[in-house]
Amino acid sequence: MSRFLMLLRVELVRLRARRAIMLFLAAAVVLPLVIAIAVVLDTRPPSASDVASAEQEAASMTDDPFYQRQLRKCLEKPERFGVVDVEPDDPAALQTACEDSTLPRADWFFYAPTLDLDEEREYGSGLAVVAILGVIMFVTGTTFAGHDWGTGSMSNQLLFEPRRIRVWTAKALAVLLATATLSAVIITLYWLGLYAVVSSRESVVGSGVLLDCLQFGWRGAGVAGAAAVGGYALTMLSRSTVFSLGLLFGVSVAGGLLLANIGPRDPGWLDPTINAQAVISDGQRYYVEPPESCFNDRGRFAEDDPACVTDKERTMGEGVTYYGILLGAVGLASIVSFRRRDVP
Amino acid sequence: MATPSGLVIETTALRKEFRGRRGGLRVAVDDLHLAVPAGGVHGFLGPNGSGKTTTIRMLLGLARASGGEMRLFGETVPDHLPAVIDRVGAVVESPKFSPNFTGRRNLQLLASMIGVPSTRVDEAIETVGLTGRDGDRFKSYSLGMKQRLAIAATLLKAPQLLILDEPTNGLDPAGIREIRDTIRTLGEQGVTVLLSSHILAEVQAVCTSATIIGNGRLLASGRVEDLLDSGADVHAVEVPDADLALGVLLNAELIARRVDDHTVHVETVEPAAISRALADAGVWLTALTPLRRDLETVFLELTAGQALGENDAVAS
Repeated sequence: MSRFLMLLRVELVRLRARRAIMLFLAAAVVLPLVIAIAVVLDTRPPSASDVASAEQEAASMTDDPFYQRQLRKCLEKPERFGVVDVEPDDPAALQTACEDSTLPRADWFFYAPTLDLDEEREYGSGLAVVAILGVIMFVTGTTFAGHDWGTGSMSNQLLFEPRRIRVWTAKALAVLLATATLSAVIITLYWLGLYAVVSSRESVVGSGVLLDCLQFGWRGAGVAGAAAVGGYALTMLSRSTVFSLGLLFGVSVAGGLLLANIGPRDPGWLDPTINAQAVISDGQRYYVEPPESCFNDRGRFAEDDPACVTDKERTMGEGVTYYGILLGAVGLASIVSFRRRDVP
Repeated sequence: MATPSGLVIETTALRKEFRGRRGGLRVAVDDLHLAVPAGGVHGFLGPNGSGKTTTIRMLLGLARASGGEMRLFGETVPDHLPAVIDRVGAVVESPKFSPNFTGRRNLQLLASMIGVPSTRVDEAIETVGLTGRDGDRFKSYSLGMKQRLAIAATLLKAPQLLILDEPTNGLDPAGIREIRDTIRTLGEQGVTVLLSSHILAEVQAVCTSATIIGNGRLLASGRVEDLLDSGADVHAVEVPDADLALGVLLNAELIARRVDDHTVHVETVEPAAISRALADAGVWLTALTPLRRDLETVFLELTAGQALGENDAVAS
């Protein structure tokens, strides 16, 4: 086995043997599991008693004068109630359509969203899981490097392997392998679990939806792995876990405020959230506030003016470039610093 | 294992500057020429803050030199440090390991880094007397046990050069004795040991040669015997009347001081001058004994004016 592989293996063992890191990684398993359970429970089909109770409630309200008045109005002018596709010479069909449109129905009385993988991926829990994993993996990378500096064991390691770039790379690779692999496994299980639930409920899942979800998750795992390496590189640069976590917090809070207040009109190329979503979701549409000049004196909006476009898209390539430059800059600074600075 | 020059460690005009936060420059090591011959235990003496640890850290690639050259086994370091690092074991300042790992786990990880079999870990643990406690977490170790673990880590490589920086710091007398015995044994086995210390008795007891530095500069270097023999010799003169003899010796322009009613100490390289001066004045001495200087005397003479922990080599 080459010296580098031996080093990599040691770093993986060191990563696995640290209790704090194991706690973070356990959280990375438990939190998505909790989210999955919440999603499944939230979208569970109503029970027979729920349905019976709701039907009873609906029936009791059907005779209410308000609803009967609405029904009469619908029969007189069905188009005002959205009943348009009924033959005018078919009174029974019109009656049914208007009753459906105006009278209380059982589903008014229970909240029963269905589990839709597309929806979960685009607007629901999918992004939440990736965001949680990203933060946990960032902290994991930070803690891994911070421990070496905090305990002073870095100098001891360098007495056995003085090639610092090799040491830096082995540690970074260990962090990337562990966090990206674990994230990919967690996210894969997450979507397979939801898919199994949807299938068990005999809902229709469009072809390719599962694959879309898995690809979404794997891109998310890549982002989580990159976040871990970013945290590691930043801490190797600052030599302080507290500094790195403080910077993450500061950028999250102050960065958002700065962008909102003094940032460019189109924040897409600068906003970390939009760029992260662009990577994970294979492109991200976002809203851009139009300038005052897009409105004429009567308040009409100049839709055709290219400068007034409010709906923009950040592509995955642009997002990858954004994070690639960011990670490359931090990584390069970290390597140069680690190579040149004295080790306490 | 030695180089054609016979030196295992060699530095030429070594210099290390630290830049302070306010832009000031502090020179920790200045024009240091260090030469450690192969074999035996070499003492590296100096007051606290004299640049011993900084020099060691530069030799081991942990700190960058601001100037000068360094060689280990004839190889220029830090450029060729990877070529010789497997022959060098080192303990720099306090032992630094992962606190939540056991002593054995810490050693196993270091052994895995260089592909050393686990049997070597067992041997190292046994050599330093940590058998039975190797399964305890490092953070539960006493300072002495931590030092022993650090020495065990150096033994994993079967080193030809061992660099130990204040290895007996904080140890109890029994621990100090054990560590000294280990160092002495290693030296006898052919390992070159560089022992950095400010404890003079330790160096005198263990080392065959020594280098003394102060304010980052070389003050003296050589075999311990030669260092002890260097400088003015002191002789104890036993006389019936110390006051009378003192007057005579001072008149003869010798450096003398009264010790008690019958004893005077005289500094001279020519003992005959003492007996001649006293005999000419009709004072008969009863004994003339050369006093052996100890390393403390030599050290204090060489580092006179350097308070402990002080480093005044500042060029702003």
